[in-house]
Amino acid sequence: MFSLSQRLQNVSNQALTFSFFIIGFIVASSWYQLYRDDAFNTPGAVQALGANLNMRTSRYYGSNQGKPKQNAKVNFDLDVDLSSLFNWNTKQVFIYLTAEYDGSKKPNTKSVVTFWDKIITSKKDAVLKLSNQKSKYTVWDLEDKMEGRDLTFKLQWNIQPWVGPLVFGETIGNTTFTIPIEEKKVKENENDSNTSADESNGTNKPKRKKRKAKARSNSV
Amino acid sequence: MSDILQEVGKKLVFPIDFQAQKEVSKKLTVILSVGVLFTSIYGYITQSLFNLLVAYGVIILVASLVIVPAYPSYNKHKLQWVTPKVVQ
Repeated sequence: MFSLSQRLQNVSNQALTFSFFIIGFIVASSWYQLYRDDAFNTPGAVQALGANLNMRTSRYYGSNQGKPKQNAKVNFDLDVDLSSLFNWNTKQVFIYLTAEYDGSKKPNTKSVVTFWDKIITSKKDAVLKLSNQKSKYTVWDLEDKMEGRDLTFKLQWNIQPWVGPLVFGETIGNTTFTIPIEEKKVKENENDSNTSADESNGTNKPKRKKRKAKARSNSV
Repeated sequence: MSDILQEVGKKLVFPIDFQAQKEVSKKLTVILSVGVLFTSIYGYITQSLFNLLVAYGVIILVASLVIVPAYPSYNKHKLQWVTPKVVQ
């Protein structure tokens, strides 16, 4: 503290040291607010309405050596209020709809896939009411087919704070949904060579409606 | 060139006396700890990290205004050197 430069250094050093207390306070208080607002028990109602199955022959859709791969997309309803995740330390919230399912050839394997996600940047947009939302990503399995799988949907969230570590969690309430098994087996043989052309064709749209979606919801 | 820099450096020392050094380091701790408490509460009440940062910046500015300059009051206790005695 003898000279001007020493005093300047002392002030800046000690200010930096004390700022760690502020950081700790911010992190602790935002966690407290999350528990106080019961953010970890947010009810989220996911309702899967139907699945849309496609055979893809591009390797960007999981096809290997030209062998067609079945890709699945789902339509779902979503009703969730995530405003309790927003406090003074929340920069943005990333929510993602995951589905968990067992393998059909190897039933003891478990896979988790993401069908849809969204970034919420403000509390105004935190109340989500989506109806018949199409999933963002098309999903395929290591095994050839997705049909007949029992999917357990979960809405998971991830808070990206201004200060401190990421906070992960999921909404309460799972929805199970069975992807219906394709009924037009006969047609598949005829269209074996031009499956990729068939899927972009709009003429088979009415047939898709025939596939009944068996959705049973356990959501709270 | 280096001679000139040395001259300038010597003029920029702005020393303060020992007692003031002790007081100043105590003052710094008090200002910053009170400031941390104040800014944390202020930021939490307004629920704004921006307000907190601005408040802490103001606190640091106040601390450096109090501590860094060599005010005349920091140089009141000059060291009393032993006066040389001429042995006869």
